[in-house]
Amino acid sequence: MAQTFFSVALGAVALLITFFALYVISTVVWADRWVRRSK
Amino acid sequence: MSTTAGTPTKAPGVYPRSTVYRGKSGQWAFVMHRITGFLVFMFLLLHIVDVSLIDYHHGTTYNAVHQLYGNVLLRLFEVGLLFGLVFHSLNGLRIVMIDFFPGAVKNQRNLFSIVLGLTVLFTVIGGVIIVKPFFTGS
Repeated sequence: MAQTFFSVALGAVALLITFFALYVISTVVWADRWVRRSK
Repeated sequence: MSTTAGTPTKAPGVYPRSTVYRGKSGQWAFVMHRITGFLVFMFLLLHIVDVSLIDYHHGTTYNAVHQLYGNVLLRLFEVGLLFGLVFHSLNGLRIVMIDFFPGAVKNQRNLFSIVLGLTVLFTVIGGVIIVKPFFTGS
């Protein structure tokens, strides 16, 4: 039972990290931090 | 956007000429630093949960949960975690170095290469130690 709960928690954290990573990587494209927007 | 005495001024943007790292390797160092920081923080939360089980049901729950770490998937996850930890700590030192010695900005790309090289080296060494028991069974 505990194993199941912990597996689900680990899976949820892994998913969260994956989505956060995708979000952070996407910011370099749209957040205009390094790349000047073309006018 | 701010205005001073009715005069509109352009918001200060972070453009390649004004940023410290000017994109490229520094940009990816920033991205990796943020992702690995989040990874380490989230695992720390889970780690607090699994260690706190030590006194629950005379340690049987703790042992059951920790058996999961013998699984090959979790061993691979731990290798990724090791990569994240080592990269985050070494890149943090790189950032501190650049903060204390502004001249180091000129060499930030080399410093990033050193950080990546050391991270890969430590991850390979640690990865072998972490994954080996799965194959040897010890």
